[in-house]
Amino acid sequence: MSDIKLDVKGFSCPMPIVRVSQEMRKLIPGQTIEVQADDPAFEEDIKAYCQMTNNILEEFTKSGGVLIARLKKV
Amino acid sequence: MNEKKDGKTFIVFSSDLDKVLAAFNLAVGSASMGFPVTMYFTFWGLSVLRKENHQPVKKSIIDHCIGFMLPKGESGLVFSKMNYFGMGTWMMKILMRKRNLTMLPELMKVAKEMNVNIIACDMAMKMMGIKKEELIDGITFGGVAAYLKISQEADLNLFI
Repeated sequence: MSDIKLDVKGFSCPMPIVRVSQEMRKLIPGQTIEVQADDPAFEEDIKAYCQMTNNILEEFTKSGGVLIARLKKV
Repeated sequence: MNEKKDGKTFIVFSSDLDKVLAAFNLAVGSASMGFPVTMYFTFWGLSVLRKENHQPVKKSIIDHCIGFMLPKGESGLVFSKMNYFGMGTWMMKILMRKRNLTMLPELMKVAKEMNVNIIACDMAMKMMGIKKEELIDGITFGGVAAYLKISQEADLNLFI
């Protein structure tokens, strides 16, 4: 289970990443966030976000048009 | 002082809606990634920062005329192509809203929330007779040296 769930379905670039970064600030290290998005760019964006901010992308799945990412704050 | 030198700076020279949208998209995205972001507005780009309503300011007739001819804030901006006397921009804005794309006022609000540093070019303000009171709050004023100092601590500097 993740500590925060974030639904950014319907939003397109750059809002999903903006919302993720806003939510990440509320977390303490070790906590996780689950993000649901349907913007196709989200896959590359969230991977780049995790690499550049040194957070961990624990899981990334696609079901239908929905992309689900679980991030762990470091 | 930014030790990592990973800042991003954007010189917004244009007042075309498409270019300003791109600039704010990049700025907001960069801020989300945790980079220090500066936007430097000069020449036509200054129009983006103009308030729609402000206290009357004392200016010469020519300055008033120039002020009248320049777009007043983001709502006055139009696309650089396919504008067709406003019809194209109007249609594009409808489509953007329908497709739930982020519009300029929202991006500007988010940029402010994410502490994007906004600088208005002093020289361009003088040239166009724009006074500080006519521009939105929460911005600073500076010149080339101020911009260069910030760009030296950045690894991406774009002129839009």
